[in-house]
Amino acid sequence: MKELVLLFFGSAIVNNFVLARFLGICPFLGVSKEVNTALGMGMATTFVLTMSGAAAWLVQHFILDAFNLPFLQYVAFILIIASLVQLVEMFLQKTSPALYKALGIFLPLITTNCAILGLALLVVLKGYNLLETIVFSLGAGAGFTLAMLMMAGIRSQLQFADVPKPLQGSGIALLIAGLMSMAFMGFSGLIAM
Amino acid sequence: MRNALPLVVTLAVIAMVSGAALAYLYQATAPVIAEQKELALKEGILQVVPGASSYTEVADGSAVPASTDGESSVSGLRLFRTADSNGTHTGLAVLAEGVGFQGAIQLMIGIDPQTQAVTGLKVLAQQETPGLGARIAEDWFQDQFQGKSLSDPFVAKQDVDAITGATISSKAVADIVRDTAQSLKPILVQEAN
Amino acid sequence: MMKLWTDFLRGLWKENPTFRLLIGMCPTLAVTTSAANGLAMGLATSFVLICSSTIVSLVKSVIPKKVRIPSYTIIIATFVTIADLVLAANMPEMHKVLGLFIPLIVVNCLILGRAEAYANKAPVHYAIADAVGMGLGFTWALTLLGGVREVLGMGSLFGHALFGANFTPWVIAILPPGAFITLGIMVGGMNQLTAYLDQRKKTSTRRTVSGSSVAQ
Repeated sequence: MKELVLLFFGSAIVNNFVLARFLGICPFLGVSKEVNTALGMGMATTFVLTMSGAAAWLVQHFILDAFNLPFLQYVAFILIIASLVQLVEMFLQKTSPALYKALGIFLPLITTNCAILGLALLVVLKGYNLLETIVFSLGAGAGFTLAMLMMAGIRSQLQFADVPKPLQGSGIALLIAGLMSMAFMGFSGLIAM
Repeated sequence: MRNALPLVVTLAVIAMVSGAALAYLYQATAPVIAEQKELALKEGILQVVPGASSYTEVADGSAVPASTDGESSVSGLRLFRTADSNGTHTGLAVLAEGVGFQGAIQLMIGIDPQTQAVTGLKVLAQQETPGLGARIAEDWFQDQFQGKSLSDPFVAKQDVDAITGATISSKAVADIVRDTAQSLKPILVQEAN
Repeated sequence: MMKLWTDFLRGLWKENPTFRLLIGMCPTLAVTTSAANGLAMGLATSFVLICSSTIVSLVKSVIPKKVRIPSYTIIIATFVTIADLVLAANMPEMHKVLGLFIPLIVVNCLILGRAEAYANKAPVHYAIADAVGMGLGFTWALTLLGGVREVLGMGSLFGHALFGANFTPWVIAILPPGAFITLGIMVGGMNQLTAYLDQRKKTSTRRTVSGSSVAQ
């Protein structure tokens, strides 16, 4: 149990996917202008992350390893993610229109979020079992959501600031991300992964 | 359903072409990749044991450390016996793996069973922070292990110089060397005779 | 011929993927700890981009609209695997450095983005020109970013030490925060430079216009 808690915080805080591993930067910079959208994107990503982490684990163990097909790993994983996103979209549309309305617009974007494929590959690389994979994915999603929320919070305050013209938009967002990443460096090494 | 047929056929054809191309390329590159790995291993071994020109892996299973105690920082060992061009036994090389700051560290350690001393050390693989922990692969850091007795304490900042700002990585290397020496003790006594 | 040239030039500056469009950010930030790493990542990405743009442009008419994205994704993933295997076989050192970020070329938005936005509609030679330009634009941006970070963080460029032993490197530049901050400042610098160039172009055209009116 202790290991699982450490694994969760390790992937959420210490090795934060966005700020330390550089995964999922595109939505982090692109969809972080408002707190509400950032939260929606974070939730949707966490959902897909966990599902695809588990699915990738199953495919790796029961198909790729079982039939000795390591060279199909990238093709297989990206197909899993793309179809999973599609399934989630259809499922939400049928069963929960409210949730679909909230998360729907983010779903297509998630396929090309490299945090998802990165997580699937990391899980295999680190040799986690299925339970560890799920905990690690949840942690990664929580860390992603946390980073998105903080970024959106800061950016919504930014409209009152006098940012030099060339830095407006993406320039200042990158500088803020740098400062956040510096803060998160304080956690580095706390949990050996 | 009739409308879905061209979609399925297209995807199936693309997937088959891709799979076939990759299978062919995998067959062609697999031996080269294995050879490259072997070459890196050989280079490491010959570098850490002076005068060595060939090696054989000691595969009696006794080289595997007692990983059950949970205290050792070494998670895997491979032992090689080296010989010079006349076939005379020159020493031992150990491939030891342990945990660093962010990921696994793989060390090749050369040992002279007669003098019970380290003849050389080379970092074969590491994922430490570039510019800080990654400096464990620099010559001055690796060379300081040369000539040290296996019964030395191997404590970073005392008998092992640590890298500024990367104490954890430095300590990880020292720990791996010390624990490797520990778990090899029974074999070394045998080898010296 | 003219269009071929503009298609090629577009990625180099006006729509530079890194400094202007800010796409493909994950590998940009993660592997640019040195100029050599940036260059290698840029070239690997360019290889995949050029190959997949070519294929997409060739097969675009036979692929039904509904399965376009999955089809393109498979094509891209195939070329990434090819790049991965070839690098592992021929340049094992580089393969080790780029590590996890080789497979992540699959989800580099630059590649799928170009397939969707351009190769999908254009004849094959234009698609290739566009891909080569975008690839080179990505490569020079990554090499420059890696170079700046390497000079600041390690005092060397392409592995050659530049300063004497007394130089204290700003290690922060090659740590994660340094990636964000260096890129942020460079994007700001590029914006400033573009604004300056636009301004100059405007004044110079105005001058020629007024000059020609005088001549009449």
